[in-house]
Amino acid sequence: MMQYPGILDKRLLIVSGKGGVGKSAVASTLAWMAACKGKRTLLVELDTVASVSRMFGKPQSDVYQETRLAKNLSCFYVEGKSGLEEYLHLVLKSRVFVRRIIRTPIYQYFVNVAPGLKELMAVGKLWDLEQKRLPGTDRPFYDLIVVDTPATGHVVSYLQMPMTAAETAKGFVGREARKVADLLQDPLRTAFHIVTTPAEMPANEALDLHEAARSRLHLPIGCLFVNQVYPPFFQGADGESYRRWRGELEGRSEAESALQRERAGNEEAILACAESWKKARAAQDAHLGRLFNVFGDRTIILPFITAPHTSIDMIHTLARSIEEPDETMKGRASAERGS
Amino acid sequence: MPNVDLESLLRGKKIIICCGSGGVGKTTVSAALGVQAALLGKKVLTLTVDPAKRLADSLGLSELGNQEAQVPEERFLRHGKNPTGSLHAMMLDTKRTFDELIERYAPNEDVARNIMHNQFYQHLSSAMTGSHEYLAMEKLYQIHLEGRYDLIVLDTPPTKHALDFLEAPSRVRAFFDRSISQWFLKPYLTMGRLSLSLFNRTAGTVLRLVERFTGAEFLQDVSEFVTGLADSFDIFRSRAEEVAHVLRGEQTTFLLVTAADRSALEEAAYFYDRIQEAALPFGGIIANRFHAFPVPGAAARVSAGGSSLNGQASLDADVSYLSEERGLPPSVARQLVENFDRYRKLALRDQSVLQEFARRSPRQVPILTVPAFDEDIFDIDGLLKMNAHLFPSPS
Repeated sequence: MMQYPGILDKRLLIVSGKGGVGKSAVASTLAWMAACKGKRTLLVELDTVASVSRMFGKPQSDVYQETRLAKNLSCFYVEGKSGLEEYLHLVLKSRVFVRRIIRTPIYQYFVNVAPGLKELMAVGKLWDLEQKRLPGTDRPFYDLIVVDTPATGHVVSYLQMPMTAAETAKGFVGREARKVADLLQDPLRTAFHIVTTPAEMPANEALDLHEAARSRLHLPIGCLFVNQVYPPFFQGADGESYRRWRGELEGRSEAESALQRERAGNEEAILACAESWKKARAAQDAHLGRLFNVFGDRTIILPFITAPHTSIDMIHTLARSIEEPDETMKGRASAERGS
Repeated sequence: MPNVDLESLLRGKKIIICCGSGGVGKTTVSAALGVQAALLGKKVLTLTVDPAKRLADSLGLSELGNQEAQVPEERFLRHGKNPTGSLHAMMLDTKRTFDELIERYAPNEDVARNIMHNQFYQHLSSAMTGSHEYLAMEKLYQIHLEGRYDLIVLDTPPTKHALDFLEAPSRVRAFFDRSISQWFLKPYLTMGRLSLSLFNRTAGTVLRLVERFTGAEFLQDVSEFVTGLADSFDIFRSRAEEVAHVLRGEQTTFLLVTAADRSALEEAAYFYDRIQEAALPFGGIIANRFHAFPVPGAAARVSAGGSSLNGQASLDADVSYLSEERGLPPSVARQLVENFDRYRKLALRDQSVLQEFARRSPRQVPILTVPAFDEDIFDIDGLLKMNAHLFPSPS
């Protein structure tokens, strides 16, 4: 049974977090899970380093080109500049005219300096994709859209744009922006998920991001995915056994150690790795505690994976951790919170 | 692969720029370089955009603002180090830096005040792509000109690509392009709305489109901003060129901080090519959070893929040994061995990634690995630990 029922029962999942925490992996996993359940799913890379197609063993996708990744699943790379051009085609209708406009220095200038224009166009494209319908019906073309976003500092300025434009811009843009803002802020259609690792800076950013999403952007907050978590270290009787064994190993004379090494070459390395694990998990626990305090039951723990690069195998493992969460992974931090 | 000789760089350079995408530990590496420079007798400033709060606190820099502050010597003494130089830090407030530029270059106070209240300017100073990067360079340049430090270490703002930082000056030069800015100079102020006769048709259409999209206020804001600073455009442009000039100079070096994974190193190789193209001085790559095996002696055997360390059979043998002969509960034995295997795999993974990088780059790219630490680095002690790897003693 899935721990977070309904996590996939939205139209739009926005996955955000600091660079390097595994955002793309989590976004891909959610999209893959939805596709496996038979949902027509689109994985959108919003002005980020296009990489998800490689996870599925496909070549890198072009901007504004839907690439099929698996059954029911494709990906799409959205970027503001092309978004604006597409929009101009829609509004002006004439290809030749649009091409001429795009070539003018003044257009290029505006695209680069107009505050938030590119961001607005990129986020607007999400709305456009959500609105897309199957030909001749009012059924959505995509059942679910999962968005992999740019790194934290930027994601807020992206998602802020429709809200700002809806309030300040007059005319056309203001009206269009209102529709986009309504989609982003609708708890029935949208969930804003945050990915982090249990380390100092990523955890700080996750908490800041949560605060910005809640109080400034008024987005419906989904789950916190804590990635790269080590299993909890031994507690209780197991901890006793471990300490006894460590004591024996450390208490050995050099001659005894040499003799043991002949018989069981890995034992000392196993101990060294265990000590490293203990320290690493203790450091993680401190941050897990802070994160649990804010996100509570909406915290999803994902294990440390040693795969050489993000791949479909990694996505399978992550999907399993989301579908069948291992409660013990929460460890001390959650136990303390419960008591 | 050649090593990165960071000590020579600290001794010989006046500016060290740490580039890299977000989340790779740039701030920590910059702070560690600062600590080492102070120990080598330098008066050093580390300039950062996004200080790690816990690190700043532990360095006694809780009040770190857009002003330089010295790390108290006592923080070093506490860890048994007595710096012959001194370490200073400064948080870069990009908005403030931009305001200072406007104050300096606006023709008078009224214009400066108007610009600061201008909505377009407010967006520009906080949101324009490249503005953070450029302002970081601008501040670096200012401090460099003042000549109060032996060395400045710049921790660049987090960007999507490390390359974005390099492109900032050309973006700024494009922004202060006179031929473009002229479009905005007159019409709104003199006539209150667009006079198309002043423009060629396409440009006029673009402006009308912009007006239709955003409302006329936006164009008025742009016009006001551009008009206010028009006389200073050449100054801004030549300033951007001077900044770019210092970055190319002998006394500067770029370091690329990256994670030790495959895609990060691919980006690093691309960055290196671009650095070469742009003829910028390059110090080397620092591959951070490299997973080394915890037991140095065992690492060789692990990486050699020795049969005793390979395969499920060997792991099972280890589990049996620990439970049967060492009396550990089977589940504990199993978890210990699984953990060992995790470290082994990580070490193998990172090593092969690095070897692949070396094999595929025919260029001799200097690279230095820094291990992943078990705990967060948040004080001088942690930085000293990192320095043991950044500055390995000759063996």
